[in-house]
Amino acid sequence: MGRISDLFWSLKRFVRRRRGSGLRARERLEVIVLCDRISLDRPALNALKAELTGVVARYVEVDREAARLEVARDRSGVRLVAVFPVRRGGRAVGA
Amino acid sequence: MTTEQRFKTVYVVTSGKGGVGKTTVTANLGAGLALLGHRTVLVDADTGLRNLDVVLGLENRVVYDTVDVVRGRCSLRQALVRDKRLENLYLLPAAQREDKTAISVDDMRSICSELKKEFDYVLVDSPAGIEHGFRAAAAAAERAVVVTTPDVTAVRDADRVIQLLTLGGHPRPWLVVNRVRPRLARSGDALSVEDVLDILRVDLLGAVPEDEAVIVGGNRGSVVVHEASSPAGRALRNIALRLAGEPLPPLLPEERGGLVRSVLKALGLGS
Repeated sequence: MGRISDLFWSLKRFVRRRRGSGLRARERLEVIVLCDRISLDRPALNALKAELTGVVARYVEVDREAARLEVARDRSGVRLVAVFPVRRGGRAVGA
Repeated sequence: MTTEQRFKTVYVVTSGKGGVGKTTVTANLGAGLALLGHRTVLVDADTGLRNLDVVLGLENRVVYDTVDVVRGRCSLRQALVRDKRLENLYLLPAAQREDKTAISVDDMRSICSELKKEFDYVLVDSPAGIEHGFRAAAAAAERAVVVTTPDVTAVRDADRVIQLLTLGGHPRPWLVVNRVRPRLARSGDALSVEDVLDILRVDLLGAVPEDEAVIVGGNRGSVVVHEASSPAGRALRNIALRLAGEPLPPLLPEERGGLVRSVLKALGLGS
């Protein structure tokens, strides 16, 4: 299961890498829209992400590079979601 | 209430950014619904910058407008202009020489609720932007359709509008992606319809390919939904059917290459 989904993601990444400026448009839009939705500018967004990652990394071994912020939107409003992929091995020892 | 009745209501068609083809989409959807036999009225909510009459080729028939109705200078019925070709399609023109705040939120609400008694579908063409005219149009409608093009700026503005609509009582706006350039999307040099949906996270009503027939129609004052061979016309007829509650999938412009597309189709994933 894990291997199949890994394969799926690397295929998807491969297909994406082959795309032209459309991919760049999408990546730029994702960040622009994220900033708009939570009314934060780019430097503040980066600072928020770095600080959050720093705090989480004190307790859990996470992949700092892969940490990301997302905004979910529904009937009740806008929710900021932070995703920190946990490194294999899970919890770090000590803080 | 039947499914069909559930779809018969007041729609606001909006976009945030101007120039994405919102008015053209509104005119075509109105004509498409009328072609299906539904009594349909289009309300131009863009006071001061009216355009819907021109898109429909009705500019010479306009006598009264929304401000005349609100000020009591004519009845609502007198202000309605009938389409040249379709006997069940009507237009309520916007005022051209008035301030854009001349129609209040309550005015727009009462106009739309009056029209709803007489018509199956009321489509309100909102002005671009997120100011007064947009807010009045959105407040008067029961469902929202957001039009965008697959461009960074237009999608950004659509996102903003969707956020405002969501907070303002339109939890599930429908999206129309207009002016899709299938060749650019195929070569990876444009946002695909799928990209736009991933970012905006709303339901797709339909996608309309870029089509020169729209420009030719615009010159003549006729809408492309009448033209059997036009790709944009075909897409807009599909959207009108979906708006009328037909359980059809959206018609997507051919963005993928032939092979990928046929494999997806074989797997039951494509259309």
